Amino acid sequence: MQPEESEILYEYAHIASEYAGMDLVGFIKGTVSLDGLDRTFAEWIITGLCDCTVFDILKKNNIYPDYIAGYSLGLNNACYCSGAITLEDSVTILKGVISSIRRVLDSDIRYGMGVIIGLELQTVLGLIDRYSSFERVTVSSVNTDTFITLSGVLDDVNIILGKAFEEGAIKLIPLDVPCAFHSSLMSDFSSDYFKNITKFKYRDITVPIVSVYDQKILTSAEDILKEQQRNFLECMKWKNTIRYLETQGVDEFWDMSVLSAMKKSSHLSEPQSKFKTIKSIRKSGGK
Amino acid sequence: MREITAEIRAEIQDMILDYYAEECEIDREEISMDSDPQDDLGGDSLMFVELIEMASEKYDMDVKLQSVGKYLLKAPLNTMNDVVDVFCKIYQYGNEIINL
Repeated sequence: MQPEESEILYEYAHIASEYAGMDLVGFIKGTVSLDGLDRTFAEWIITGLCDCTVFDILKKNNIYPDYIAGYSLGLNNACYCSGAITLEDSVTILKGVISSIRRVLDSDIRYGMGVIIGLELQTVLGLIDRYSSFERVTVSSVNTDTFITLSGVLDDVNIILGKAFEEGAIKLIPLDVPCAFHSSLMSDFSSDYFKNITKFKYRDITVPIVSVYDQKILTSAEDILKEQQRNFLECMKWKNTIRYLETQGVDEFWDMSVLSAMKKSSHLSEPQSKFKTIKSIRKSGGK
Repeated sequence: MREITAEIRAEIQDMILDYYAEECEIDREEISMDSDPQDDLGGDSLMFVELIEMASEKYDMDVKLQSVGKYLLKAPLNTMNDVVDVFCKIYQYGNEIINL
């Protein structure tokens, strides 16, 4: 990170520390160590704060979005950046997610997630049908035609990843999460999440958010809450979201993630469309 | 099978090296054909997928990622030479690469 970016991040981290009840600045600097779910909680908050930092830098460079799309936990950051929720609300949502994970870990079943790159959706669905079942493994995100995320019972997810390798997948990535996010398999463990997302008031927003579930343009507080409700148990349709935005004339996509993760896991169809990242700003010297 | 000339091979190699230099933020001159695309350059499989899409468009190639993936089971990408070779084979054989 550049000095200016670090300064903004530390400022955010200082404020968020109070809401989270942990020293996030110390964690970033390496003077505080955290384990287990505390560590996960801190990492998720900081990841979100990094997104918000990038958003601030874009604004400082007079880059304002026409739409925001939030991928998974990125919805929280989208909600914060669009003015629907406060930083404190965002931390409250994450607390709900962590509590839900705790419930999963207390159960007898181990869950997990994985990414398959290089196979089409129908092929992946065929593998689930043949080697497991849709009650044990579900598709939790379709990022592109050949970038599919799975959620489910850990053993079964691993079986499908193994079979995907034999079928010619270019890359398989087991995700380091003990849950089956974006899957109805989590419904028995989701009560804390659903409780926390209604603990505060959502505000109407000025920058519209595009739903990753039905590609509806969300502007009202009610819409945002519904999107948060869908964000735990439903499969994300990122491919459709990007495509929808392109059909609306969007041809410049800014990846808010520091490591350009979304640029890498998205596909643009129109020849004039392009992804830009925080690196682009650094390269151009802020112009 | 499509014929591949020395000129096309050089063009494919240029495209690949330019892409890795840009994405990995290194000077093109620093990339040796013996470099490991992941360990030495910091590349990843998503870059490889994007390159296939770029090449498919540029050279009007009809190839499914799955076919390339099955070929890679037999011929893993250990060096940049391997990457160039596989793209030349995709250019030549398209989906038939699976039968090589």
